[in-house]
Amino acid sequence: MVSKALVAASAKPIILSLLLSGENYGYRILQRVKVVSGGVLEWSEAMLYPVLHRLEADGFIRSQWKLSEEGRMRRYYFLTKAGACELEQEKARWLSVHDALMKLWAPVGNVD
Amino acid sequence: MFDLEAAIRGWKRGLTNSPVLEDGYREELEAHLRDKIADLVGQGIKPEDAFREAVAAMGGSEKIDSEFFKAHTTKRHGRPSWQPPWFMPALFWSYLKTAWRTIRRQRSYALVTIAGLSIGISLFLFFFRLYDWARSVDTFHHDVDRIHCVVQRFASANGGEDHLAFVPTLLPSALKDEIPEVEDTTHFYQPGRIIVASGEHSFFENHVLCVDPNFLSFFDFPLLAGDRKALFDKPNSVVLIRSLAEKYFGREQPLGKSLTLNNQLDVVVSGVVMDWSELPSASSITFSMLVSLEAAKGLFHLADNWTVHNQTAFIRTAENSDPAALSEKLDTFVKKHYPGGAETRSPRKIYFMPIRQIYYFAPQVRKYDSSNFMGYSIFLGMGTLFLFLVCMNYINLATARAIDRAREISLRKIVGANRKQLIRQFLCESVLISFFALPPSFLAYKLISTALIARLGVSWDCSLWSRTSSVLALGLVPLITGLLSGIYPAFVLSSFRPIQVLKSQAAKKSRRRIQKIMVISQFAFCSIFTVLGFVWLKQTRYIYRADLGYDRTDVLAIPLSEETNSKLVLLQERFKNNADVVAVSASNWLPGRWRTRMNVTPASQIENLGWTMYAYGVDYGFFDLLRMNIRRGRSFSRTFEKTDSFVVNAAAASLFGWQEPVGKSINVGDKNGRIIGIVDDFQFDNVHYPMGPAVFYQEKDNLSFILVRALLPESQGRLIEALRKSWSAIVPDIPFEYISLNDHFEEVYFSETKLASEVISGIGAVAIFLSCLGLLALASYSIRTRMKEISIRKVLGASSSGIFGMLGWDFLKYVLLSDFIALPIAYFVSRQILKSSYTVRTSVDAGILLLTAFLTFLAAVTAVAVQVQKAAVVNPADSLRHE
Repeated sequence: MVSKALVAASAKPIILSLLLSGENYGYRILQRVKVVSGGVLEWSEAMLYPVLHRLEADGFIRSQWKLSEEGRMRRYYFLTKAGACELEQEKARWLSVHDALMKLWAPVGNVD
Repeated sequence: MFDLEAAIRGWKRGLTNSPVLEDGYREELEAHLRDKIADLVGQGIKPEDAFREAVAAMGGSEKIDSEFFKAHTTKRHGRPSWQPPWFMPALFWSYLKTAWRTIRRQRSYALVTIAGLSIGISLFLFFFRLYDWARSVDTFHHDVDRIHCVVQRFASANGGEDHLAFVPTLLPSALKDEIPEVEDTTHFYQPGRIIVASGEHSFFENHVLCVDPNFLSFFDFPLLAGDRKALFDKPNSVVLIRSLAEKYFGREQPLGKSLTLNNQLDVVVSGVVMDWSELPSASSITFSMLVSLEAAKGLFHLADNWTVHNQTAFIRTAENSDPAALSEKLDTFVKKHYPGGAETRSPRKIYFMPIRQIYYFAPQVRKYDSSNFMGYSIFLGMGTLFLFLVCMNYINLATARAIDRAREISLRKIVGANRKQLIRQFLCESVLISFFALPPSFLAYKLISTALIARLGVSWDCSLWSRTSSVLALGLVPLITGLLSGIYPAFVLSSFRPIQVLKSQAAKKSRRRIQKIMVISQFAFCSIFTVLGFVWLKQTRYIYRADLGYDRTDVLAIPLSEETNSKLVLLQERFKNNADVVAVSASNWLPGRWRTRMNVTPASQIENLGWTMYAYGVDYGFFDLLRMNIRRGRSFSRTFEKTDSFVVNAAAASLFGWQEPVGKSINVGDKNGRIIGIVDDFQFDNVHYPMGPAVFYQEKDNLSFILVRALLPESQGRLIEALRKSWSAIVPDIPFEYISLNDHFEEVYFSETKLASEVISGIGAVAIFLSCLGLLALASYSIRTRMKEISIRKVLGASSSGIFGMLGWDFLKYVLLSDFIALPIAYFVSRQILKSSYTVRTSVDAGILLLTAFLTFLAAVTAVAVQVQKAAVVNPADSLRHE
């Protein structure tokens, strides 16, 4: 299980990254997250939408109601320019954390 | 058929309440839901199940709300400010505030409720504590579950069996040697009363035990002074309880001080143990002094043998052994040590009985001491019933006042409270009120316990804080009482419909039916309590006056001791010379709980095993003194008696089956002699038992009391002084004490019945009072709702007295109805209890039932009269204008 705090922290970069490959809607995002993480991350519906709305309020993503292929209205989300910039910064932050951890966990050698 | 669209519509409607779900949010969630359902259906799940699963995954609007809050807050683990902390129901403080306001606004009602609750709670707590104390008897000994009492079974008079917890001196050590499961044993002998002297003070002491040296290491009586291991190293050692040490030595250090027993044996105090009133739990073995058995042997002519059964023995079984599985070993043990078999007076069987069981739950066993547990259970039962009654009273008052709160409730509903919240609020309120009752109930507890403990004759530490169970009860009882009494009013109050209430039509009909049932059952309880109280009172009087076959009034008993025996004749002569004395005799115990028994066999029938009968040792003049009627033959007489002779009672005579018993020869114990007279049946033992067969023999060496019949009750004071003077002239070393036979009788037997009757009638009185308050509340409520009707009746020509009658009858019919229900029950119950616990018993007559009915009725009339009177004389113009 991934801790609550980590889920909360990682939600933003994951959503932004998913939207990098094109617009998407809530239900699909939820499923993609599950698949990509190999089932480790399982977000609840109640959590996803507030986060999406928060990101939209912050200006990183925008939404639009569209008619789907099945003939139902869905709210699609897509990345804004600000969102793409934010993603770049997030990426740098996560990678630096990742690097640090990898160094610490390296099988041989000294950290210095 | 499951309609998916309808289900989704319903679900969506459910979300409308949430304020955070802004425009478009609900539609988005709906789209999500539909996607998920489509997916699940695609996997082959039924639409209905798919819908349920999808909705469950989504969570309610509250969950969405709090997630929304989390996504927008900078606090990482924040609780949304509108949600209550997990340990408190929502709006808790608001409920508290409202409850407090309600209490303050309706002071007199709150006072009545709180007073009732505190009496109920304290009474219950007291009986619970008493029950718990009695229940935990002997638990302060370590491994109490492994301690057993040794019981022997003998053949008895009527072909049945006698169980005796008395064994010969040599038996305990043999048990320990021969049966490996017996880890340890101890035994003691109860010598009865002895004289204890310190310097020139001397007193009789009753609770003396002669014990094995290991007694205080076998049992865990808390030792206050002395070395537990070396207490009886020297044979002439005694251990005192604290209060006795103070009695003899005051504040001086008692260890090493010497005492003289029966003016013969000098002993040294080697230890002090705690008084039994200070013990952490009740103790079945009580004593004020322990004397080493070794030292006591000379004093009481005890010998090591297998024939005299006078020791109480306890064993501790080895760990993990089952005492029930020992019966075979014990059978061989019996065969080995009692080789004579069943013809001799040897036990048939030996068995072990757990110490905690033998004290309360083995009435068939004659033993060192016993008590009746039933009483404690009955008291607890009454306490519980009374608590219920108090709850009912609360319910009545609360529902009666409901109309006053209708507006508050409606307003709460209008601003969004749902029914669940309101129920929670009212429960909160009732629990709060019952906790308010806690401080006054401490006071009431104090009063009840000081009043009752003195009467109960038990001394114990009744503090509520000294045991976990009672501390737990202290928290739980108010909580449960609150919930129990609050749950019904909560449902009623929360069911108000705001629109109707605000249009001022309080819901009336259905609720009143339940209130009627409450009033009826409340009064039914009261009637039952009252009847029981009266019956007990009557029973007490009945026993007091019952013809037990002898006359105990104006008889004084003066305890003797061994030294006085040689001077007995002289003492009796001196006493008889007093002008205030009618008759003088002596006996070896006193009527009341006199239960010495012996084996009696007719001399002609050698095969017959005989019977175990009451056997009473008495002196000349005993029957005259107690005014017992000699039916045939004569009593013991100085002129005739050369050899042993016996007087039997009618029950014994009929047991022998002779046409003419007088003159026949019988064996009593090891004495042989002729029957010289037959006395009418009587009861010297517990009045609970039937009058059994009994035999009197002449006792010469072992008389314990001089009996003196005074001429007049008024001259008793003068008489006692005169007796004391003659006593100290003859035997100056022996303390002069006396007890009136009547007091002795009351003390040993009578106190419990009297107490029971007092407690029951006390509870009955309080119960009636509370029920009347309930009725009063109901009356005032009901009259207020019917004011318009009454006024219209008056306008149309009804008279005040007519209305008074109509309203009065309306309430009183319930009281009558409750009497109709309760009186037969009370009649049956009290008869049953009397039957099961007394042989000498009074009847439950119509007088008691009628008196009860009259009393409850009278109380009810007083309660409603004022209210009804007010309503009957009201000016219709006023109330109609007001309406």
